[in-house]
Amino acid sequence: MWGVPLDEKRRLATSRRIVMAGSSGPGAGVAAALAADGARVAVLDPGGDGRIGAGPESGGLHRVAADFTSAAAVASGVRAAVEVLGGIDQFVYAWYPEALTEPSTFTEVSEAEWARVCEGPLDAAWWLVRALIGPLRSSGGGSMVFVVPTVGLTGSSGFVMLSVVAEGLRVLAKGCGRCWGEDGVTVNTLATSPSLWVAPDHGARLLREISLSVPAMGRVGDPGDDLAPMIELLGTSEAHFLTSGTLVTDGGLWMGL
Amino acid sequence: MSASPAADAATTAVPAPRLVEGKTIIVTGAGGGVGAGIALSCAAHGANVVIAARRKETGDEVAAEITRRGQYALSVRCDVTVAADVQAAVDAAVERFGGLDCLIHNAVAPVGEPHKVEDVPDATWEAMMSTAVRASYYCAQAAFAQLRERAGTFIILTSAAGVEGSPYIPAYGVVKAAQRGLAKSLAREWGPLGIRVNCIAPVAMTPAMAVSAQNSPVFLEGRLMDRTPLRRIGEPEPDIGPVAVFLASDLARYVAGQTIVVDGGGFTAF
Repeated sequence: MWGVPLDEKRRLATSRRIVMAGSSGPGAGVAAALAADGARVAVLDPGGDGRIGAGPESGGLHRVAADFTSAAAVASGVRAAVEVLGGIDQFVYAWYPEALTEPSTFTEVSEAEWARVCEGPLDAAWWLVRALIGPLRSSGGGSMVFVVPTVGLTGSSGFVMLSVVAEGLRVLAKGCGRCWGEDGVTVNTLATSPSLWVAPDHGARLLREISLSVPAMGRVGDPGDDLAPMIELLGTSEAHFLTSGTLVTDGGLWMGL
Repeated sequence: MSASPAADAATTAVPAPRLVEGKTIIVTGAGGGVGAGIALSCAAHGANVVIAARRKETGDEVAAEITRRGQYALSVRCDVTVAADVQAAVDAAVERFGGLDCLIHNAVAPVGEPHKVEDVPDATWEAMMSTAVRASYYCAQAAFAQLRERAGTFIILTSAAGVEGSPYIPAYGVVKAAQRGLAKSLAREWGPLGIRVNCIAPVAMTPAMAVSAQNSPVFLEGRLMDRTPLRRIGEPEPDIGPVAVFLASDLARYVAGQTIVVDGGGFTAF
């Protein structure tokens, strides 16, 4: 952490964060970095076997296998995670089904795949925020952060479903921020390089689609080193007046806002 | 010499160009409101219009009005949440008019009463998802082959709420944003095939808006009007329809992946 006051460092070290993430990928990197910085982190893992329960604690990181196929199941997973942590200060959404991060041609996407891969994460996010607002209010406020690829802003051939989900989540964050600001709950979006989420060869093509330039910082970012600090920042008192915002955190590649 | 400037204008007026002459355009949710306005406007500009409405009797009325004006329309019953209905609408367009140049997906479930996120009824969320997100999938899939054949265009009606979110109708904002994500990516995927995809984000006085106005006159006459530089709520046919006509026409041949906000200037941030 750079330049964070000591009292904030102490608060971060004792903060309770729920991260929706898989066992690998950017979300997992973010969760590990948050835990390494001292937070207690419960990872809601949609790739689990559907059981609700806390896995063994490891370095402040708990894994909670969760079912995201119904509102009731999501609420159960959230309850389990909150119970493990003893409350919640921040929620981070950083998960996309593997099928979303693989290229596909829209006209070859079956209705069943559309429902499961594209609509499923939107349903899950909708149910999640509704289940989380009660515990966040009980904690006296807190923050939500949606980590999305910029393809929702830019569009992308071959990743139509990812674009649909990313833009839906980004505006879900805005709506939640508008609804819950007076509760002391901020809701923001980190828009990140799509190359973090897709295979490297596809990522290179996406970057060419997004911009004529290369990232100003010379790289597209690392979940632990570059994204996690932004998420931590959004959980501090310094960021208490920032809500419903989209922070493009891609090293200065897409500059359309 | 004419008696008045108005009479001068009448005698020298140049007929409006018929921008979509001979094109076949399907409009979903065209039994009333914005959809009906778009359908009437497209027909006035020479299109063969397929009125796709869940309640066929409403679509029949709009088709009858178009026919009464000497233009061409076909009314089909179409619940956009049913894939077979959407496909049938496309098939009907092809059978009656020989092809399809444009599909405009306008239909969406009623937004219902204002709610905070946690209070939105499950049925409202499900209806939003099915009429906006799932139905967009159905429309795009059903129309693709025909649009490709004619280098056509796919237009989705979205909303400024799909850009800036809404504290009153948050579910609506989410699904309208999802549709914008779809349009932007489809524009990139279908552009090389000659198909343009765009969005229109209107604010117009529709029957649903009128009900909202009755329930919440302070919002409509106060907040919404205060934000609108043109100081009026749009009308479906004269204000929204022409923008759809433009996007469906060859004048917009180099416009793809965009959202045109047609709201009297209320929402300006992109």
